[in-house]
Amino acid sequence: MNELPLGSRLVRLLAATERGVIGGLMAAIVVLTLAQVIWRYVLGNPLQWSEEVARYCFVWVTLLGAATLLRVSDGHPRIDTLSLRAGPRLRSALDVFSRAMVILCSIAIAAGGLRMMQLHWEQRSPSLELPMAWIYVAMLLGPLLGVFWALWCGAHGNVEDEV
Amino acid sequence: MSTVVLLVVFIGLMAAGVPIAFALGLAGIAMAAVIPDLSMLTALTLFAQRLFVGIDVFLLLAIPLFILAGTLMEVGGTARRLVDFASALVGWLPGGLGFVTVLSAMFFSGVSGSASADTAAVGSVMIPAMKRKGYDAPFAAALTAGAGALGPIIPPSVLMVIYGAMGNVSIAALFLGGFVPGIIIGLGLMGLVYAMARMRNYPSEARVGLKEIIARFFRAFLALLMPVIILGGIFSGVFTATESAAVAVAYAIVIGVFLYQELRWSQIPKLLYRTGLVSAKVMFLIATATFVGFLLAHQKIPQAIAQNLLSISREPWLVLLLVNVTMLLAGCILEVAAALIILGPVLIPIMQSLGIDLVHFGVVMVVSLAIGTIHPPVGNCLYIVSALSGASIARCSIAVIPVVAVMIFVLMLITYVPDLVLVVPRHFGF
Repeated sequence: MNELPLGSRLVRLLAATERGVIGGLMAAIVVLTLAQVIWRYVLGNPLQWSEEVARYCFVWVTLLGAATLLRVSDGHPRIDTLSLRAGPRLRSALDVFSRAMVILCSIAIAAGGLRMMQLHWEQRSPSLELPMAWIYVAMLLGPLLGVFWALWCGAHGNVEDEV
Repeated sequence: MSTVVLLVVFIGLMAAGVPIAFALGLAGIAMAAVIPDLSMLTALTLFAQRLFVGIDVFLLLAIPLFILAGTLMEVGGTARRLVDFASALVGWLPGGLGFVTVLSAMFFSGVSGSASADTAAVGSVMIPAMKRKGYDAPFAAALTAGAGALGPIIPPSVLMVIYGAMGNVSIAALFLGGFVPGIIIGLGLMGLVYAMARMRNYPSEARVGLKEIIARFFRAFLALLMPVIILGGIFSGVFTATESAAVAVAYAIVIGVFLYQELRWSQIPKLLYRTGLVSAKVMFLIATATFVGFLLAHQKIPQAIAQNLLSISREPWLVLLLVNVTMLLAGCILEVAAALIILGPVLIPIMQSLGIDLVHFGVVMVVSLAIGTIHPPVGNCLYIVSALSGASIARCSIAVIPVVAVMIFVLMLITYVPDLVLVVPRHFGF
């Protein structure tokens, strides 16, 4: 393990962080939704904010997960009929093209996300009054992470989760 | 014009192997670029904004929670207990293990919301068992795929949650509507097993005494109770669909960790992460499709398609036939959730204008798309059973033909006899 170059070690650390954050947000969604039921029926005191936080956690899970899915082989659904039948040169050309398109789309989302942050910088969420920028920033960071994975995996191959 | 750009870019990128969600997003941007009164900056802002709006829906939280509950149940040793109970009930019939496969998949559909989970859970137990008893591997595989396709038809169902969110249709009514079609498909598959068993002399298992049946029922009871808790909770108004899914997760953890003691706490973080990734796949697609759906609605495209379609015929039976064929074809190209997400917003308004019940149509749509999960080229379940059975995709594809035929027959039946779908929801007052 220690012989790995610094870049690879950092990449493994990044992948491990993703696993932790996505798993943690999922746990939060389960706990918050259950808490909502318990507070309403058992304690008779409905929570006003749990639903909102759970939804925002899911926005983060989706946008981070969409980036993570770019580094594993069992990733985003796609039609690979053509590339499976192509010769080695066409196949690598298709791979480069596909990565370029993923990057283009990710940059478009990141640009839109940045604009959303600018437009709603002062806005607060309805019940907890969280700064909405904290949520919209997922649309900037997620796609940028996706661009990184598309480039890294294009150069070095996929980064799978070790189980 | 803008629609042509959308379609050309979408199909071109998809054929080149760009992930569907990204192809859809880029096609949407290309479409926005040719809409005259829409600047690029506005289009990009709109893109991000619609992505956010598409994900930020409380009902859709039911998707990761139902997937998680099904996974926890599988890891927690539920599948084996359901198989044991099913084999006590139907194992003695000719082709007994085939019957057991179908019945246990029907039971497992009640705890899982997706076809691939159902196929993997039942297949990993039943396919090796069938092969040991001399069943042909491709038939064992094809049968398991068909039975697994009941996952999204018998409640709970991830696809029904997505449809309900798109069409603003009651999730409870959709869930109830899936029961009868699911049971008919199950019976149809059992008929197929019976015919095959007679033709190929498949063995039957030893009959099990009543005492043993009761004992196995009690071992499987907690798992069998899960759909009752989910559905009962939603109907009685005790919880929303999303909350019921969270309760199902808690229930699965309690059963797996404390009662069956096959699930360890240390496994849960990994399962949470896996579920997060699987959900992100579906949700990211929903998000980009929300953007495209907004553009289409802005350009009044669904209305235009509806008008064209209705100018061919206003006969509901003919329109339904056309729509079914479209969905079956879509299932040949697109992964099932993707097909639902892309076609739903176009088809739902058409059905509304024809006066077709949206609960009925939702179940029809789920059944027709579920068929796409078991045949090539994109059927997930077929790939799972091929891997589990060791039979090649080509041989599985041939063996699956009668299974697909049974399912298409049931699809036509429920399309033209809406009462089969609606009788249960009506009984509960929907």
